[in-house]
Amino acid sequence: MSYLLKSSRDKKRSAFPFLVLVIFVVIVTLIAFIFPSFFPAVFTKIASPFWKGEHALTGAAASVLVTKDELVAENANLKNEIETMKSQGLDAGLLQSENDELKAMLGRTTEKNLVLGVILHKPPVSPYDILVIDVGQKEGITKGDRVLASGNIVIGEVAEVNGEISKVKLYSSPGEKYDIVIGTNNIPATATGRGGGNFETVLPRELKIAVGDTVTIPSISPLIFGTVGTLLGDPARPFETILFKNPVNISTLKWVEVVKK
Amino acid sequence: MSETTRNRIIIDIFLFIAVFIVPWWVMLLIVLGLLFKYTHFYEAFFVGLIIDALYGIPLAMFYNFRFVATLTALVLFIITFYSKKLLTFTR
Repeated sequence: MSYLLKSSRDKKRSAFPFLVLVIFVVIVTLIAFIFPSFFPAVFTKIASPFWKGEHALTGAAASVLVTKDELVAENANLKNEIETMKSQGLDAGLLQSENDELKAMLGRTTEKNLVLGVILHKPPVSPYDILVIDVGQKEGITKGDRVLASGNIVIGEVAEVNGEISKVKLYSSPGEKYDIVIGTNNIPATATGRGGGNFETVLPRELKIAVGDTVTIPSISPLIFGTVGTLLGDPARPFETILFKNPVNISTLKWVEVVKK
Repeated sequence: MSETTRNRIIIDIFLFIAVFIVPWWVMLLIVLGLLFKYTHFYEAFFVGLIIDALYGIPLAMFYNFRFVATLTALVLFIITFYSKKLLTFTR
């Protein structure tokens, strides 16, 4: 009777992949526990030339694939936009400098120590709602540094620094919670990330939050977090869900500014 | 070197380069296909590990667990291992 022997051999054979699996899990867990930055440091070093090469190639391809007429038209449009924005920005600039002077008189400075970072990877290429940027330890970036887009729109913070590369956790990562202030009445609330630059918060209906209200992060120089987009709620209930989003489109961003501590 | 081994090495090299530049969801589909194609596609663990090393950070969504892609690869390995026994086209 060879049935028992065959069966036992089959069992051994089917157990082999799981033995490999267990060994793999044990080794990875041990390394990750003893040297937490080992895997990120090694693979980021290997990935760095690929990412930089890919970024240079896509940039070159984009500049080659645009026709002369398109560039001329785009140039004219951009010049018009600059003129319009210049005239609109005059008042804002005056108010900003007056604001800075008043704060300086009271002993508070609003100057930021910024480092420009090129985005190497962003969603949907990267999972988990994170950005990979090309600045790191050499530029003095540290964990927890805030990351801005378009000057004063805060989009996330540095979660990990690996040599010349940093990972930025977007505030909109699902489930992440942050303290915010809504509207001109400075109503405090807690924002919860919903992914893709979207957030939600729940507040009493009687606070009269309106669509278009600005959401900021409490700070000496307010950083814009988003603008209220939608209000959801049943008139019979005392609370409403407020949905808001970053004013910048993360998928079209090319670079960000990191505020060094 | 047999043709199967050579093909597998070529696929491994392609995977190793692709994991740095291809979107994560494309990698997921490629790895899933290869898990069905090969009897024991252990490389899936390494793809998961590299994705976690490059992009993984502790997130509230995953209870601050940072090896989500590696865990996903392990789960897919087990699921495909058993489902291949039930499916006729993989025999």
